[in-house]
Amino acid sequence: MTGPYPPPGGPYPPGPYPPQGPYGPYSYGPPPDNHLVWAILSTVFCCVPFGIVAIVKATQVNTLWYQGFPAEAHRAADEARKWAMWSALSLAILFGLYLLVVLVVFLIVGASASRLVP
Amino acid sequence: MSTVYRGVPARGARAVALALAGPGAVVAGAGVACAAVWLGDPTTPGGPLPVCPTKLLFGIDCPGCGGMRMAYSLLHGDFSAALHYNAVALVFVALLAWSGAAWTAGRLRGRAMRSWLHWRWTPHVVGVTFALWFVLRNLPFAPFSGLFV
Repeated sequence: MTGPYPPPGGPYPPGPYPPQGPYGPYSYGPPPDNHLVWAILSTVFCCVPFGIVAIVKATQVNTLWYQGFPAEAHRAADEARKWAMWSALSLAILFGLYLLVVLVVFLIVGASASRLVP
Repeated sequence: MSTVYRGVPARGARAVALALAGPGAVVAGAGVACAAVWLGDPTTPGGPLPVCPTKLLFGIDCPGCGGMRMAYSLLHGDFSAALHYNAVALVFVALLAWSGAAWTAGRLRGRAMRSWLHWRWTPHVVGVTFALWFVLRNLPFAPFSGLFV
């Protein structure tokens, strides 16, 4: 990449474009990835409020970017990813607990099967 | 930065395989989920598939509630039942198919393609949609009571 800056956000190739700083001019550079797809998926499939927080954070990414607060936009993008991740993780934890409960119930039923069956 | 976005289309079996690895994993995961829903039959209560924690704990529908039954109905070609179980999730299935196709095409072309996910106001619309959907389907009077599943 060119310049002393970190590469600009967005999957654009290092082409023959003029060198561009990470944060400006705002009207040309793409805003950072707001991880919206993960926020939506974790809200729809994980049924936990964390997904809503992820969507709100994703909302702030573009707004902050176009208002001229690139650092804050990047921070909001990171937050959106973090909340979506925790939303998915909490579902995984809940599902693990569910499996654990089912397993324990089966074990109890199995252990007392001799008494339940006449 | 991902290595598939080089600005030139993927050439050769190796590059194409690299570009298709991500979408392939997503399709495989979705296939496993569809198989689980097909076999588990969430439309019949008491099946092996767990009920949404929100519904279990609070007795209300969350924005995603009915999603598995919607998927089950969709897999069996019952479009009106799918619409009944979770209309918003059904719309998002179509939208995600679109963005998934754009993602795959972008990886093959070596240049990211934009889809509805990248529009300026998409996060806002999605957030408002989810919030409204959350409230509307829990209202206990007609015509909204029909949205509770």
